[in-house]
Amino acid sequence: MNRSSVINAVLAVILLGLCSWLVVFAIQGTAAAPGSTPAEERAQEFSDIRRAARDETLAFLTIDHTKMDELTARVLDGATGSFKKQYQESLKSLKESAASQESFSKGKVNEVGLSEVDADSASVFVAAGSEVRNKGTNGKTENRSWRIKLTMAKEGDRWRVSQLEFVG
Amino acid sequence: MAKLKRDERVCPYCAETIKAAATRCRFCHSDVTPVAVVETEPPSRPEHSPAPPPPPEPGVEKPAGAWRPAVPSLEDVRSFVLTRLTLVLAVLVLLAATGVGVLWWRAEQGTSAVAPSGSLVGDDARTQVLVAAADLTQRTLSYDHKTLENDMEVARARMTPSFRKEYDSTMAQVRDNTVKNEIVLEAVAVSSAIIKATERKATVLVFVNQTTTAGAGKKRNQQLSQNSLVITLTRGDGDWAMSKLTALG
Repeated sequence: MNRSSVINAVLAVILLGLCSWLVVFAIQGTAAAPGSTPAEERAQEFSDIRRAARDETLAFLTIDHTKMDELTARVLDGATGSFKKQYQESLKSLKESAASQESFSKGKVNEVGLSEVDADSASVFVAAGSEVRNKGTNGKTENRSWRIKLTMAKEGDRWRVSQLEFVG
Repeated sequence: MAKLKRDERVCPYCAETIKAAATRCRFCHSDVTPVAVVETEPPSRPEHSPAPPPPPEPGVEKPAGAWRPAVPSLEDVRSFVLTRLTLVLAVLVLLAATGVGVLWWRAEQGTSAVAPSGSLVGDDARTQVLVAAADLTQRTLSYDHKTLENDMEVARARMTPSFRKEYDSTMAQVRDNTVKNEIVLEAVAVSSAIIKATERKATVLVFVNQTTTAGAGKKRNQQLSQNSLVITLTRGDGDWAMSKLTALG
């Protein structure tokens, strides 16, 4: 094999590769570009926010008077800013009332919706419910439903809840 | 070995078939002496025919090029491509690379409102969905016994045919009671948030506070209900239209 046929073979392989890449572009559109496009990154961000909102709402609505330390630590992990501060301040009374009422609460997230989303903040609305059982319910399980507004903040790579309000 | 064509001959150095008029062998690159091609006259042609001027003088000394047609034959194109294969490939590679480059750049620069997964990410497009969901929810869940026909028309204007049917049958059931008890329903969407949205279909979580007022004056009776609704909107080419409304428990 002489030199020119080696060059030709290399060029043919490159050409074949480029042509198949063009075909991928034609089929998949912008997804064929390596790395991620701004639109893909934003879609990824949306799903990160949704997951963080769901996890924190569940953590917040879950109460078991036998393991409050573990549960409240999980809530604090997903919290930041004023929500974290408020939750920390109410931690003692929360644990006391859970113990005295022998409370159980199982949270359930029905829907998570995103309203405004910026680069590092987002408002999220959650339709949630909980099955509550404590001394006040006479051992029966009661269903409650909640309309919750979360304000989320991005810290590094992670979204956390900076404000939690019940929507009236 | 294939039979030699009229304008071909064998290279004296490497014995490959080359063009008769070649001055260099395309295989071994040796310099060769060009040989003129003898054009064989068709036998039918008379010696002194009045050929168009100037009549070509067939002769051994004439260079082969003199008789070659002006339009390159397929064979010429093929041999050109073969001898310049590297150049042709290089040009094609360059073209394909440019194409890929342009598409890549456009993908990176793109302020596409839609991610490849189909999900709607553009701010303006999302705001339109949020506003439409709140607006259409209020239209559908608000009416006044005094302006019932008009209120219903306003609501019906932005519904898919199947949802309109559902709405009509619900309204037919409540109409008598609404008029008789002088009922006014006022729905306020307190929030609107996207669960899932593409360019054609959106699912939106809407929190609604609905006030039901019955009667007037002293007998006036008001009730407030707070609901969480999941609204499905669809869009053809125009505005978003309500296609489904589900109340969460």
